[in-house]
Amino acid sequence: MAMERNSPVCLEDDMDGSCIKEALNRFQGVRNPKIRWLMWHLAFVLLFGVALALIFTRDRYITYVSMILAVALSLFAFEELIRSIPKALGDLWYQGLLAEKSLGESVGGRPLNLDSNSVASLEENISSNAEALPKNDAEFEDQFFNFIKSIEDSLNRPIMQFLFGSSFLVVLLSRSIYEFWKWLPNDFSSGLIYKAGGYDALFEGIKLHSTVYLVEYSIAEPFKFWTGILLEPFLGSILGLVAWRMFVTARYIDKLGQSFDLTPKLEHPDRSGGLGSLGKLSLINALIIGIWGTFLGGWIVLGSITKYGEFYVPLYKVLLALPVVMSIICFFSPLWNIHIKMTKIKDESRKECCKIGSNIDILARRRLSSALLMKNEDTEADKHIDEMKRVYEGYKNRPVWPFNYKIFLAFITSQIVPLLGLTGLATPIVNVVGSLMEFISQLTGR
Amino acid sequence: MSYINLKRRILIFVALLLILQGSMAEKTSADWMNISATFFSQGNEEIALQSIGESLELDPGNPEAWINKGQILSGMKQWEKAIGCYDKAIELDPLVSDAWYNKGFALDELDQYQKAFECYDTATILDPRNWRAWNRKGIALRNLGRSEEAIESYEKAIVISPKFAPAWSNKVIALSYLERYEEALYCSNRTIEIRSKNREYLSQAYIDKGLVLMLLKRPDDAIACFDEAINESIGERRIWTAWFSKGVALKSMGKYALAESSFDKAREQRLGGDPRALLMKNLKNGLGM
Repeated sequence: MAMERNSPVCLEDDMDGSCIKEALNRFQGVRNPKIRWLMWHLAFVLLFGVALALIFTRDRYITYVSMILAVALSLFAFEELIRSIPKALGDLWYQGLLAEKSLGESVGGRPLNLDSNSVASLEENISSNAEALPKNDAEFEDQFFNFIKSIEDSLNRPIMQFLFGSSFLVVLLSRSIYEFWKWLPNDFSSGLIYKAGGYDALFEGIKLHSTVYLVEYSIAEPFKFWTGILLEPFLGSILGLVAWRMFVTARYIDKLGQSFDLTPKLEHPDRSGGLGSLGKLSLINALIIGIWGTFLGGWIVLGSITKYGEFYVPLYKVLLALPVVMSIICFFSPLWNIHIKMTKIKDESRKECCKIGSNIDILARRRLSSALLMKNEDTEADKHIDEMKRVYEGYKNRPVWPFNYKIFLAFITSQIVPLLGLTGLATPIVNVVGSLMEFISQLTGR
Repeated sequence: MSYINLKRRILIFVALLLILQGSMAEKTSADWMNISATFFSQGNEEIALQSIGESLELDPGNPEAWINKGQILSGMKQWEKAIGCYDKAIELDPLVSDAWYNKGFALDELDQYQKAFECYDTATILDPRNWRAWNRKGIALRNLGRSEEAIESYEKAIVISPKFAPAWSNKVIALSYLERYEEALYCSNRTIEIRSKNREYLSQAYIDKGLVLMLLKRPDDAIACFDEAINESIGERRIWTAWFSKGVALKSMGKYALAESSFDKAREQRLGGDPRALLMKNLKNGLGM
């Protein structure tokens, strides 16, 4: 059995492209095998739990069950995120979309030499420009290899994972702490005891009430109690690990634009110059947060229409702004620098566009003169003009964002429910739909 | 048949009789108010609410009926709805002191102390002899951190009704917060004197005195008071506060073992049994063992 390597290790002498391939093949977003196993399987366990809860408790804990469902969906989306990182890096590398960072030179590949007026020289220019596609030389390969390694190391940084895990653990434990706090004052006697007894009294008071809370509340609300002190903190720590990796992914998308020059392709089928994989990474990042926005927004809408979760609606209204804002930041912020670079590339290509326009003019004039001289050279000239028009259009419509309309549409769709919840537009819409349905049923009834 | 079941059956029977009577003779708004008051005093809030609803349907312009409805809703801890009823009563007659007083009470429960204070203030202006309103005004002022003014309010209540123990008791707390311990001790003695007559809340009065003595650095005397409180509250669930206070006093004296046994007692009394045994029992029940 082959030994599994935990990180891409490559000697500098081996730099022949296979090293990058190996690094990408062996890329591990979650290096620890136990945590990896847990994260990949937990979503299924949670889904199973959701199904069981729906069968046995029906709608009794529907809000809670939907929260578990949101965790499961987040984990599925996270798995997709981790799988997409090496894919995206591979796309960038193999399509030659990255180039070594240059100082002061123009970005976006070598410009075409379009000063010549002849068709022959134009063809020569096109072939020479094709040769000018960025070469992945050893030094650059080494640079990219280190970049991949740096992402992998950052994703698996133990201290940060611990910090994020602990922070999210505390955040998700806060429901239990909040409930204990709300429960506490009802049982406290006058505050005079704490003035008379000082910290000793306070310490003993908390100790006594914690015991009472543990004994009484654990039997009065066993589901809420045990999930509050065991399941939620556990899920919180897992979500913390997810959050850290989302943060690293966003940071490195941004860093990619700073560490390398980008060479987006003209007329790339992904309609984003070949950089669509970066847009997709940002989309998944935003979708993970969007799941929570949908959860909160959904319950704001449902809570005001049905009796379910009505108690939590004011809390959800306060919390919802966070995932909506975070989702937008998570989607656009890492791509912003890349967008600036792509805009710069587009601006620079305007000059080339003008030259293509001049060449089209020359060819068109030549065709006109051929027609006047009754020469049969039109077909060849037409082909050239059509080709150049196509190139011109390609330059003119160069994308300036590393995502296409499909990715953008997916992002906007994920924000519909949260925005409806946030703006309070959902209830009137639901009312109108309800009235409409009633009207239709009355009509059909007649 | 248990006593509670018998009581419930009698109530249902009375309710049926009243409904039957209602079908035979037209009732006035005042009749429904009386029926509502009867059921409310018997703790049957649902029927009381229905009855007061009937009364208000016949005479929606009666502020007293709105106050009664608010009181029933307050009894059901539906504070927001109760405030709505008191507002309606105030709208009909802004000079009814009771509406302001009850509204203040509901606002207190919602932790809206400033608004509660304003309501009690209006109630005392409309009826300066309302000692309960003066007392509640004092509580609202203390909650707002205005202990000096709170004491003045309690004193007003005491002047009107010198044997009104809650005002004395609240004054003890306010004086203690202002570190006027000797005055607080005098007030706690007065509270004990008044409460000794019907023994209601007597244990709490002893606890308050014990705490004042602790603040006066007299822990031995304080422990004696807590023991009195324990003796007074045998059989009551609130006895745990006396044990707890005794534990705190013992700990302040460095008697840790005794203090710990007091805290254990407090835990047991608060829970009605040994915490570990109860937890195990709960776990077994929960697991269906």
